Amino acid sequence: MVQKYIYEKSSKEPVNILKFNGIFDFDGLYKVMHDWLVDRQYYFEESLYKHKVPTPAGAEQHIKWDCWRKVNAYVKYHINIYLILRDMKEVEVIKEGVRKKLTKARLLIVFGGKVELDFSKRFPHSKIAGYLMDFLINYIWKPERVISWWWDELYYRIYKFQRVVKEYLEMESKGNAYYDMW
Amino acid sequence: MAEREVVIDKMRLTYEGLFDVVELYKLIDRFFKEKGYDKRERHNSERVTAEGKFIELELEPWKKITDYAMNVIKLRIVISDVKDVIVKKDNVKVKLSKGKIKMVFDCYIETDYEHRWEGKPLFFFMRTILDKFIFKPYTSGFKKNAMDDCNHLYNKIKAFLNLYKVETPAQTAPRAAITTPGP
Amino acid sequence: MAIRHRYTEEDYMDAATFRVKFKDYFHLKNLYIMMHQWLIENMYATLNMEDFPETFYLQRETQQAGREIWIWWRMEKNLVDSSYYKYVMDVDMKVILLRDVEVIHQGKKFKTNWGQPEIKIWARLVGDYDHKWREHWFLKHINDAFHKRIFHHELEMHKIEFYREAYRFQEAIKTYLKLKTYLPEPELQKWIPVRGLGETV
Repeated sequence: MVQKYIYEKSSKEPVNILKFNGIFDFDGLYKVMHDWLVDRQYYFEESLYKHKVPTPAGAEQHIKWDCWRKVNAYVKYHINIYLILRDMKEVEVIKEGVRKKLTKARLLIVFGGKVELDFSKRFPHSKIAGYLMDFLINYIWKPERVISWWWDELYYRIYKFQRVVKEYLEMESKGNAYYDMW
Repeated sequence: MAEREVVIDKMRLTYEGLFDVVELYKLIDRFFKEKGYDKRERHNSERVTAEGKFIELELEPWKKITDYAMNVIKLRIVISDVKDVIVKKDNVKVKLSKGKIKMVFDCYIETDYEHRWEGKPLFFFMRTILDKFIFKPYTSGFKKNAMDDCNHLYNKIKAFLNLYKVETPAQTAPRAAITTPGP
Repeated sequence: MAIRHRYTEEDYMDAATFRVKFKDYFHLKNLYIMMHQWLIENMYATLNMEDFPETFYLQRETQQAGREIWIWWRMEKNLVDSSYYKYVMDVDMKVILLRDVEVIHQGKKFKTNWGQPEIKIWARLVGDYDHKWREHWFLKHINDAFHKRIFHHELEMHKIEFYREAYRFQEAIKTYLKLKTYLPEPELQKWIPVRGLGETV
């Protein structure tokens, strides 16, 4: 039986966890992150948007994005983003002489990704095809050889995405020396 | 089955004074890139308050030396009470940061990361015996390689922070018999 | 029929055992979330809520004594996918005399809890967890000698690493509850407000 091959290097751990506690432009950040994904031809799916006001400290929002992109007829990239905002309040600040409405919150962003093989199920549904696919992936391509190239590309592209977010939040640890990888 | 062995155990660096946080991070990032390490930033946390910024970073890059062994350097950086200050250097105003830095370096060797010697416990037993008694020159060579990289990074950061009179722990592997585990 | 403890036939080494007991105002839900988040960040669990190993949850309510909550978490971590050992952390949380209260914090009314939580943690390094060695025709005779002599140094090293991680978790819990801590590097990165009460300013 042919099984769906999802090569998930980060199935147990996310690629990166970013935390920020301060004042930032959440509307702008949301748009920047969305535009980054859409510009790179990722299909954008917002699978969860939860809002509640549990305490007088502020609102709480949970946002889940499951974005994917077909690399070729056999490989698909998935980028999973999970945003959690706690103690969210709107504040008005004067930045460079202009009044702006910004958000003060505790922001947590979890970046994850996975590589999916044979997403279009081109291998026919039979035992022999299943064995052939197993043989191709485990012995000819080998997860640590050929398949890891795709994972490597996705991994460093997620770090480029993370760099965009860090720069927008004006974090001190912005910068990515691996910008020329993929 | 993979095995992780500690090469450098909790080597600490503390500093209080002026430094550039952005350049420090770039220095570390560039170091790992030049040495051929793959990037892995586990957490990156920043808190902005009126009293100053609080930053915590946990980096754990890895580098495959052979198809059997890889170096892993774990670096935990805690920067607290960071405030922006303007300093006059050679009659030029420079924007720097003032705060406290605490860094913890750990270095590991991970062997058999491709899990070739797993599946059967007999393979694991054979691998352990071979590693401990027959291939010891190779494993000690891998350890030395990892230790050199970690010490190089430590010295580079020290030089960047311009530390001259800091008491540092020995830059060697931990002692064989550890009776009282520290923090 | 005798009740078997889950560690009866297991080869394990105690890495750390401790408990944190507290009796004052605290926010239980945020404590739960904080502990859950710490475990995810340190790779004891994934973000997938269905896989989170909460094996037991009990809640009892009485008029005189308030609410009583028991929570058991059975965490496992296999850092390098080893087939011989793994880290097992058992977290037992018991909260008694729990009641909902309102406190004034930074000029605003906050709904929080008052009670007595007690968090017990057992950190154990379990060897031969899938029993392959004790069932092997050859390895079962040398299993003892292997883990007490040949592999002893590596197991001791992992025990120390796990001990440190467990005490970092304790530091995170104590930081949340505003208790005295002693580790040189702080946990929680000052990201979670103390005792779960957020900032209103």
